[in-house]
Amino acid sequence: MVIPDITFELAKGNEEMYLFSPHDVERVYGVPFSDISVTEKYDEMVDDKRIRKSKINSREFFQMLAEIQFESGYPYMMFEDTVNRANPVAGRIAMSNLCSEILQVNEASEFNDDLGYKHLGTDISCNLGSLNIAKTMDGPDFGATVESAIRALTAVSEMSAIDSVPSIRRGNDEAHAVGLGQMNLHGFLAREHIHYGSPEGIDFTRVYFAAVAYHAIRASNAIAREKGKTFKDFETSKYADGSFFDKYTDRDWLPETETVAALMARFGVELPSRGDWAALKKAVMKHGLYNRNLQAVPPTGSISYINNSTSSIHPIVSKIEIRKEGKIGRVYYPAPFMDNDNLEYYRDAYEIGPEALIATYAAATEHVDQGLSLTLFFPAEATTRDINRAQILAWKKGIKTIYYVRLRQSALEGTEVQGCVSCTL
Amino acid sequence: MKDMIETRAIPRAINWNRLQDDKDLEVWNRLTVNFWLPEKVPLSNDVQSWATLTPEEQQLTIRVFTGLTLLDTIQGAVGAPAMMKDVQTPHEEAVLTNIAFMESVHARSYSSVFSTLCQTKEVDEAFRWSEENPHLQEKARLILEKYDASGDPLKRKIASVFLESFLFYSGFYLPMYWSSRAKLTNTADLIRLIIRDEAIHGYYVGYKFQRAQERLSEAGRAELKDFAFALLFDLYEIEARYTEEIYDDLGLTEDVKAFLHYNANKALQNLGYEALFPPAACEVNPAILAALSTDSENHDFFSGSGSSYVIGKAVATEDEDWDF
Repeated sequence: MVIPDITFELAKGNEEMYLFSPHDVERVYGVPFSDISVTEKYDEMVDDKRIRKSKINSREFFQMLAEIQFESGYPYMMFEDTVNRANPVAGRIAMSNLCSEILQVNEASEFNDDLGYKHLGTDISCNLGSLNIAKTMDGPDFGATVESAIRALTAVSEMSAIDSVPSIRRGNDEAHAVGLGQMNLHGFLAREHIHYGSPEGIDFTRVYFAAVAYHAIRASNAIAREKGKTFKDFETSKYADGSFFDKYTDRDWLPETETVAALMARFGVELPSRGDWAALKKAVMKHGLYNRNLQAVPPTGSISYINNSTSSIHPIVSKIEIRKEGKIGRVYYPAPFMDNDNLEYYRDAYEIGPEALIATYAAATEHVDQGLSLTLFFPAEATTRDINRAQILAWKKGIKTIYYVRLRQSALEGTEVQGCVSCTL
Repeated sequence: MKDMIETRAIPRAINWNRLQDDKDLEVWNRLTVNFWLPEKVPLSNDVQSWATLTPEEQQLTIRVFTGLTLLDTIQGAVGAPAMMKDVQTPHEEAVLTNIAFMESVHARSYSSVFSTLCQTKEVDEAFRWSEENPHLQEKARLILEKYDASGDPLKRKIASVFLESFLFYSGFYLPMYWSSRAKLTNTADLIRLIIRDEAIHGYYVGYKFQRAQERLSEAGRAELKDFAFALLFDLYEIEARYTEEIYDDLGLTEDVKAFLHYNANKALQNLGYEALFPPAACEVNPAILAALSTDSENHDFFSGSGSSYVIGKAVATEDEDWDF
């Protein structure tokens, strides 16, 4: 579900919202409906009698969405204006992938009657991999770890040639877009006796992701220099004119809490200063970047368990997670590093609530050029209003996409399964 | 004509805002939120897994499910409606209508499993088997006797709790066993939804039993307790023989019996009685206990809605929510 800012504005005023005929919109503007910024053109389209339209109440629309999400977990949401404001490269982002972390510009193909290409567009190859935050922090060299990861993903991009879909091959060859993700945030924080979603937890997230962004850009710049080549249309990006770097050269992205400052010092992680960012800006403006996109934070389900990690930058869903896997049935996964002494740091997503989760994601989103798969968690007693409030908060805090909505129902008192070890922690 | 109208008692319109017993609303809310239909569960994902079972295992599974179908049919068609005339509050009657319908949904859902995984011939054979199996018929007869209109309302409740909280579990064991071995995991999800319902049914009827017997004399309560334990012994005898007949070949009988003891104790607990079987006899295989748990399971939604599906409560947003 692609949601523009105007939908929120209309709902704020409890106004009726017009729905437009996509066919008519395409006839009037000469481009598909999805290529138009609805926020920008809304009033114009309302006044255009060539476009057929109907009306629904904007708040009821959000409520209906939440009702469906309550029962099915879907639909995912993409806040298109937020996504496009944060997009550092030229072009418009009209969609995400299923997990909602890939946010890239693509170009539609056109086909002949025999399904051959009339115009070969560009599509996206998801070259994704995630760092284990605990291992990355353990070191010894934070910057080298991020650089290795970017080089590894770049190699994946170069080895990939999806010839069965020429538009993906073309997109991948031109952009070498990669998506470096992160997992085990909650596991790491708990191991270090920091509560997920606490001021220290959010401070760490902000600083960590800023440092990852710095080293990812540094690595991509180094590759561009080595190869003497940048991604296509680098010149029209916010990297090329340097404006991307403003927020890093105008202010510091260093720890604001003593706990996190001490933590970074203890792990020997050197954080980039404004001076480092200014130097990087100069280097990028001169030699460019090899990868059009660098970061994307996927949900990392099964792969995080193999890594003994918590999923993505989500809080745990349970101290011992019961997970249903298609092929092997139920899997029981105890949270990493958990012992009797640090149990209190393993509050689960349903206890932590949406505010702390959104604050954590907002801190990371600031430094991620693509998206982050963000799942919202509610107890079954929640209502659609609670879901809507969390969505409004997420949009307000600059979150780009929302992935699943998950509900948990606890057994009615007196009907619980007794003696179940994995349920008693 | 006039006489007929006078003899037919007109029920008082039910007012859910005047509760005699808060438990009625609590259980009503939970049951309605838990409403589900078998079509919610992607049973067809189990087709490949079904093919990995031996013909004997397949036959056993179908037979167990026809046995469960029989119990659900009895509870939906006879048990829950029979208890409706014994109700202490109008709200209890409303809850029982939900229970009766959901029992029919349960009975219906085994047929969904059959139509997805099995061949008609095998299913027909299994239904015939269940009609002829002496143990199944015997336990059905025992319960139905107690449901008879001439019987004691409280004895009906005891029989109902034993059916919901005890008799089902010799059958439920098998899909939980498969699930703990990564087989028929979607079918297990469906069974877990049934278990989630039956747990509440047994708990609620047991609770109503306890409230009703508070009004009885010491002697009356003692008589009921004797009745309950005697019935449980009879049912246990049948269950033990049924278990041996169907599970001996798989070598699971001892394990299933521990599970029966565990659930018999749970049924007694629902009625407010002390446990019958000592803890040592109730050491259920941990894999089965873990498989029973329905809360907090995590899954990809594109593989279905799992065993934690709930219907949401719609509440409109207010101006203050849109303050940005």
